[in-house]
Amino acid sequence: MFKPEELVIKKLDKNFYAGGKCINALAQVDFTVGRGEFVNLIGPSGCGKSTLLRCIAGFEKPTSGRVSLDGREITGPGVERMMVFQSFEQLFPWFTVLENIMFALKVTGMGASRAERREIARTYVAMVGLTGFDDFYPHQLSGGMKQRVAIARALSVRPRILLMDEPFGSLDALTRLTLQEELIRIWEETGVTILFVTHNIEEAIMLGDRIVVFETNPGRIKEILPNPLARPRSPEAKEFNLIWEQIHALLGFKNPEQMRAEKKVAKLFRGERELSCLTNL
Amino acid sequence: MVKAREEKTERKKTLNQVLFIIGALLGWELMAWTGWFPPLLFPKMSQVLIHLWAGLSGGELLARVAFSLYIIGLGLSLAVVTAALVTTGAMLSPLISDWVQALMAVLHPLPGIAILPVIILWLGTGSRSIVAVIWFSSLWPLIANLHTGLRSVPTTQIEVGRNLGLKGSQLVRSILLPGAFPYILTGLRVGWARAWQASVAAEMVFGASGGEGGLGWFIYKKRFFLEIPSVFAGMILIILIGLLVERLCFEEVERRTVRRWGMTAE
Repeated sequence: MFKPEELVIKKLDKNFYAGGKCINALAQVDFTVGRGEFVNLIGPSGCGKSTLLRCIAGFEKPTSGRVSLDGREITGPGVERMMVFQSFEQLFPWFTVLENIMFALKVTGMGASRAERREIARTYVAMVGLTGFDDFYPHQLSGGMKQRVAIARALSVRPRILLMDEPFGSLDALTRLTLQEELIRIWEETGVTILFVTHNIEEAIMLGDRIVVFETNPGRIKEILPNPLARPRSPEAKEFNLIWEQIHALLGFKNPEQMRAEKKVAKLFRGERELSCLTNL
Repeated sequence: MVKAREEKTERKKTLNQVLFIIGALLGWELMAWTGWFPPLLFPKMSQVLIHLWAGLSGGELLARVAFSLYIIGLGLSLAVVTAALVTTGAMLSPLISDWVQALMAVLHPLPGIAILPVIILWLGTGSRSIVAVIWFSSLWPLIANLHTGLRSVPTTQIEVGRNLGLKGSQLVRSILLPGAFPYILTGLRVGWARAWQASVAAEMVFGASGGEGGLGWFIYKKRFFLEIPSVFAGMILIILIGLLVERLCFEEVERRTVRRWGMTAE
């Protein structure tokens, strides 16, 4: 299927200065995302995957290189690139579920009247399966429900790209699975492009069309894997496991020194066990 | 179910407290009846209430209350405006932020009433001086709470606002201020209490010029003429106003906002 390029990231570098030291969070990141694509970013913590997302959102300025959407360079935050965060605090606690979405519609100039915005907001609440919770305040919702509202709010302003920074990272395993399924359904219905950061291999395989594997220090792309699995995807499928192993191998590198140290410790433990066996006799 | 039970225990608690206060007042009355203490210094509670009623119906006490509320309102409003300006400055420039923090550290521990002697020298003995003391007393808790409140707003909420295209004053108005509201409310509460203390204390030092004064001045004047029941009446009125404002104003606002939103300070 032909997918025109939408988001182009070229030779992106991002350095942070902390304590007089320069940390190279991202080095020479190069990749493109097609319209309507679902791309997962995965990697060890500190690999800069979240930083990359924040650069695309416009919250961070790249040290060098450029990020552009449909040929226009990104210089700051914008509604066409909505971010969904991991934090349960991303909803405004002084607004109800409906008001949170209505506020987003209002400040972005969508919907002619309050009544119209209410109607639009209702539709999005229904889309994430929260009908009946319109007038609940965020503190009355569970973590999973809060993330649903955040997704509804982000989509309500009709962004081109949804940037998701480990949105299910703080949820329990069951809720996470349900939300993954729903996200796929919403993605298929809306056709929105999704960039999804995760540190969970299963999640990456369940969701993405492509999986971008990052390595750390400096943060850069190690490999981009296509994920041809047919949807709905099942973790039991043989191909699923093949991709899993592939990613695991890509992520699970150990440096030789650490391996040697581990072997040494293991040997000490073995010696200890043998000794205690002898004394117990 | 649970809510109903909670309400029941809450009502029981209130009833208990009211009964205790009525009991204490009756105890007072009985103590005065025994004649163990000189009635001039320890008047009967009934006497105090009669004086309270007479003062209120005669209009004198009402005029004093009106004056107190006016002067406190003025001082507190000025303090709120100053706090808003100072905090805005602190948000715009890290340099000003450092200065404000230094000022707070130095001046916050100073009781407002302690600056009265200097204020009298500068502004004379009039209501202007009292307003100045009220302003100074309530300013620091207001600034401290506003400052903490603004910093307590989660970064993600600010970023959601920026993502939606909000900038500058829009961001402050629609995200930072509501987010800081629990702290702002606390600041107003403390500021109000401090303002009352300051006004009563200041008026007791030099009364007020030109026969105009608030409840502090009323108490001071009545003590001067040894009308002790009226002194107690003035004190009771201060307590009643404090309770009324707390219950009808602050608690009501808190119930409709902070508690409804599940946002509690700290």
